[in-house]
Amino acid sequence: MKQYPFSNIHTHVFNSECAPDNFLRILPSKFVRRRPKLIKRVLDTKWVRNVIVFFAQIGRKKDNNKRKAFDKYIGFLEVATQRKQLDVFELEFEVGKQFDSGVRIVGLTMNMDFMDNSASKFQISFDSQLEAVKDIKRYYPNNFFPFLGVDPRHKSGTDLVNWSKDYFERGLEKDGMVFPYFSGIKLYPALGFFAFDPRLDDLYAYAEINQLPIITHVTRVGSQYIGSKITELIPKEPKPKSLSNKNAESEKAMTDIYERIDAYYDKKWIVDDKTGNNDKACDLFSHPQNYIPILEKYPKLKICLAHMGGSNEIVDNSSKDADLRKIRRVDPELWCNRIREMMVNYPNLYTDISYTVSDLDNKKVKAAIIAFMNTLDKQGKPLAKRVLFGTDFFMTEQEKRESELFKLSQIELSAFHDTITRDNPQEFLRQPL
Amino acid sequence: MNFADNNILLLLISLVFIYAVLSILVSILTEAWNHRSKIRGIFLKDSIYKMLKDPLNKDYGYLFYNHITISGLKSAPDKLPHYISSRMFAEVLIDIIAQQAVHNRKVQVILDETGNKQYQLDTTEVSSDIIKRFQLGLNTMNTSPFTDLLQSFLDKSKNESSENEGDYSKLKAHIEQWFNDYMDRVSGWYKTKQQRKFLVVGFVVAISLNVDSLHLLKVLSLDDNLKDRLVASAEQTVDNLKKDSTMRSDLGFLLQSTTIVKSKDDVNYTAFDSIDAAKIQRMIHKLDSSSRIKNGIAKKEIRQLDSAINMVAELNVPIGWSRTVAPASWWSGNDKQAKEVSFSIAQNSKNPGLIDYMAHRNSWSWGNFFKYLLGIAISGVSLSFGAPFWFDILTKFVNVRRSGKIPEGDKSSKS
Repeated sequence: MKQYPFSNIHTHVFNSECAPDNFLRILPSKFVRRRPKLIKRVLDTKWVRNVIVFFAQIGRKKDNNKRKAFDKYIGFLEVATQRKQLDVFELEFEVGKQFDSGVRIVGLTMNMDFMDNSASKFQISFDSQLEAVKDIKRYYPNNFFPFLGVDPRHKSGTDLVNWSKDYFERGLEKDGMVFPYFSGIKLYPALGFFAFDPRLDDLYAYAEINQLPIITHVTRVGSQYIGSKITELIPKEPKPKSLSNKNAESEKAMTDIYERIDAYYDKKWIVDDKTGNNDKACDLFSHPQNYIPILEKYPKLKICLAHMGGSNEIVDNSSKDADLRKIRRVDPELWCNRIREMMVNYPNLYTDISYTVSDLDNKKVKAAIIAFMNTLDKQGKPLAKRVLFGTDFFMTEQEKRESELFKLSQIELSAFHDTITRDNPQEFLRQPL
Repeated sequence: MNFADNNILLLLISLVFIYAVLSILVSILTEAWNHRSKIRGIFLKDSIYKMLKDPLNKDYGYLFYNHITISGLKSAPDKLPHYISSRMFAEVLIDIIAQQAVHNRKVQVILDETGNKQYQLDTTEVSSDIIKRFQLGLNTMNTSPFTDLLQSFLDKSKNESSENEGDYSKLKAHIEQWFNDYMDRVSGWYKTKQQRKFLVVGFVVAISLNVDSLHLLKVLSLDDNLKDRLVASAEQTVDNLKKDSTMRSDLGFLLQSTTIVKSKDDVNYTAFDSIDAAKIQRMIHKLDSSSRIKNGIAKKEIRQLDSAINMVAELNVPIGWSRTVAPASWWSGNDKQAKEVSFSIAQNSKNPGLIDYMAHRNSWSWGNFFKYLLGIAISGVSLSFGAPFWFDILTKFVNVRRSGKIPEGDKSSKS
């Protein structure tokens, strides 16, 4: 049987210029959120970062969402402040090609233009970010497979489809092979939209017809909407509209979603805040249940709910995290379990182990992932056939070095390694060989 | 009246000379700050981003800095180029616009029976002529003020060329001219921004060296010896500066030209002496050796800083910190010692007026405190004008004095 190329399905190549000036507000600290630009200036200095990383290492045992968010940001700064996007890709490529010279790296672009509702002075536009990504594709057509970040606040309906055609239906030729510039769609709902937003309906239809896979961020931790008008994005009344085709499953999911919104309002977790304190509210955007209306309407659409829900949603860590304990009272089911149930029911639903891979040396996490892999779907096939390998480079840099993550998955998931790194990505991407 | 010996003019020359020497230190520190914070490169980048920002299309500044020609100018990932020539700017911008036409080919997606994707590329050839590519590249963009500007450059170059097809060198010349005009404005913005930085450094130097302008002025007015020595130093310095008037803004040249005359009758005023200077120099060298940045510019800065600190120590003017000198003497509670120091200074200077003034200043009073604050503020603002400004003023004052000197012959005839 032909061995498909080794693939890392989940990496990022954007640099700090793509992020809004107030980006630091993703950190759960009141002090930082009040003065994000000033703190960013300080953190942009390398020696200051080194000192902070040193102290962060001391507090490493304290495993919670806040620390992970902080680690991610420091990792982001380390790589993203000093490099252009091509350089970021090449860092990852250097590691990947040691495993396979024909390594395929999926680079997920993110439209951060709507992450904040105040104007950013130093942020480049999303179209400019994409132009630099196209250059990487031109230089590494066999190795780099970028996904197009979409946001319904940027373009919607047919406008969005026409705009995205410029990236999916334009391309280049190398050694007789033709490559479109972009190979799939990236959603990052935590930046302030719901995946079931009807403004994305036309794009999903286009993606289903053209077999464009979608990767979407599904964890409670990560970058999120940092603006001050969260109630406009999650209105209490009227509730956010859905592209639902009104079947029973979709309706049930939407009822749960609306009840959850009400519960969050009751708990006062959805409140407009000048400093962008939207930590809990943004979980509503990332929730796995939001994808049920889409999967019901577009059954052939391939969607990957990334990160398996996140380490804290694979094994319940709420005993160590007061915030998580509060959330569990409203939303008790672990996201990983929800994803598993959904994958059993929907044959084109995928997940990946990006970022979560850094916790594979935790026995409980490893056992839960293996149990997940061995679960059988309705056709009797193991879910391992729809789990993809990814690292979330360069967000993971403060957790473990990229090569360590590769080796960790090779050792800890040895029985599944070829499946998740080679066979499944080929099935997901369906790129010519 | 002999204008050259006018006391006010001599006072001004002495004070300006002190400012000139101290502002060398301010200029060097500001340059070092700029170098460490990489502000020149960042400012140039921000200006080019602003220049090439096209909200209806893309941030061409970002694409400009991503271009291999520009990114290749970086000596390290975080070190931006300080200078970009107009020729390079024009060539890179034309290339970016023209490449848009080349990398815009349509792809048709075909799904085979097994569900695998196959792609077919539009094979329409794109002209290899750079001007035609530039026009095609412009056509792919949304109409915007930026595209209108580039189109006008292209149209002008077509009108100016004989074949009416546009001329690469003429298009380049128009873009170069646009860049140069813009950079003239950028220089102005940079200077304005630098003035704020000079003000901060001016105050840091004024406070850290305890430079009270009102106190300096008073001591100069009471101590003729000191005043004459500083005027002599100023005159020699101006003579040295005249050797090359084109180098007036070069800090190295200003440092070389500055001469400090010494005299046996000097009173030891300064609380900032050669021992303090040596301490600071040791500290700088220690910092330098622990620094990972070991380039030529940093080394030059350190050398200049060394010389400037030595020069300030040699000035021997009433500056610097000591427990026996105001304002530290106000809180040290050592009035007796302060008075003894004041007395020794006054006795050495053979000027009885000085003892009363020094004793009075070194004792606490609200009046002294406010005068001190005012003196420091004047020093901070004055030093922020930078070394070239003060050396220029110094030259003018010395020239005024020389033009007012009565020739020796005239002096004797009058007497």
